[in-house]
Amino acid sequence: MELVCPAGNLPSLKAAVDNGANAVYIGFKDDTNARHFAGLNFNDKKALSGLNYAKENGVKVFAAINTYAQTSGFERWQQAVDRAHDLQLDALILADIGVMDYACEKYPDLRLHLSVQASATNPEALQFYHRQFNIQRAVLPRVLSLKQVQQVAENSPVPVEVFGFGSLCVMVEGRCLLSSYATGKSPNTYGACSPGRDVQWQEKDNGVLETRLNNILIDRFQEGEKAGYPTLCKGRFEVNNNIYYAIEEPTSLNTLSLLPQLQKIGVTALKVEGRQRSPAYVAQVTKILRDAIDCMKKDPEHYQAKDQWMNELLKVSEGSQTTLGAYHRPWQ
Amino acid sequence: MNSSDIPHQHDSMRKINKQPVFPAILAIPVASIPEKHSATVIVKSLNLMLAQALDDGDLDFLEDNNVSVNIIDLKLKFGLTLNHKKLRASQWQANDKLNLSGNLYDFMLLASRKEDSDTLFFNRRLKIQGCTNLGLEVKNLLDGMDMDTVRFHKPLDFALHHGIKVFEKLFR
Repeated sequence: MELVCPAGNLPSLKAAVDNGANAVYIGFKDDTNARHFAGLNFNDKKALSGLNYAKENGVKVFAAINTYAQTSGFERWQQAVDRAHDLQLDALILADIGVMDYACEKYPDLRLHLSVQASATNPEALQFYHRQFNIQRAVLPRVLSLKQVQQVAENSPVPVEVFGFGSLCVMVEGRCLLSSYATGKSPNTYGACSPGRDVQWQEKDNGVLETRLNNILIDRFQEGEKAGYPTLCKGRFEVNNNIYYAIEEPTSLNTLSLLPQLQKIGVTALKVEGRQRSPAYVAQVTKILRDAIDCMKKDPEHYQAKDQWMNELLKVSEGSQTTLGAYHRPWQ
Repeated sequence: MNSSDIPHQHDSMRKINKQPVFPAILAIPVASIPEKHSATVIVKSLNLMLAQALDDGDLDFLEDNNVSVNIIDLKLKFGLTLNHKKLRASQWQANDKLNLSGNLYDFMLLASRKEDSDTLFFNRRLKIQGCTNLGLEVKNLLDGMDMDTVRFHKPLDFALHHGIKVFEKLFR
């Protein structure tokens, strides 16, 4: 099982390589990837430097070009594909069929992975992408239960990759338009759930921290209470006179306890979320997942997630809580 | 519902653990230095250390943008901005374009890359107010900087590494 880790900058890429990643995924400095934040991501010089470092250590580098190309500016997505090809990256992670068409027509030898943002949840959809664009791997959306992952993996024409750790969203990736109601921009079109220019943090004298998205109050953290990302889906709202996380709590996915099952059902790669996080996070999470995967491979029958791993991962989790997400939904 | 559906949480759940704090009595000498002087020393040191990054334009986003920093327990406040590819001291302001505040221990963890800034932010240990994009630029500059281009980074890393250990031992 391959460990695929995130890098928003060169030190994070090096941290992933140094701590045992098998592959690292990166994005370029524009809205062609779903972590489009000020100062984040790679220019050509940094990407080349990272690629060389990874290659020297036998680690692959993928480029996430996983937003949906807009009518105005399709050339940016074309350029991103051209750059990834020219840099000789190991694979491109794509979601938009226009971009996929461009990539496979222009560079038939380019290895394409289907992004989670494509939201393909059944083998028929994967067969379509495989037949039309020759995708070689698919990242499955986090809406599927473990049983459903198994059904898809058994009937998929390509190996599947799943999310192993990281911040969770409401898990309708590729179909989420929520933030566009507040900001006019959505993760699929702009590359960020909460564009920096629309986010306001304000701490009051009494220690209460208020978060606004384009002037809409989305959360109010009391003094001493942990905060989360400023996304609409993780805001607290008043519903029937109760104020609570009406859509989703700030939480992270953690699949350490499921590793043997994921291997058994034929999952080919485990992905870590978090290109927006710093090298310290990448190092901590990569190291733990490396240890866990190695431990599981040695003796899958007796493998158990260690408390120390779980606690370390909790520390870096959004909202300081983790769940099995949709993997464990007996009703699904 | 199966028990494994229940989210795994810290004992303290949404409460925040106590962190080492620089003792107030030791901060008295720092607080007695006029802000202007301390800011000048800090900015001069940064210009020296970050010469290559400044030259490469990595800090250009700070041009005419003022950032105010408050190291709360050290009672040290200073402001800085960029002008003609050089960092300049500016007056600390409570409502600057960007305000960063936190305790010395957490700034040391950040500078030594031992802790993730989002983790510190989620835990309310690092406060960022003002222009969020400018905050992201600063955070991503620090995260993305190639330490080999920072002058004196080896002795600095050594000092930070040991400073953090001493801090944890004495002030927790």
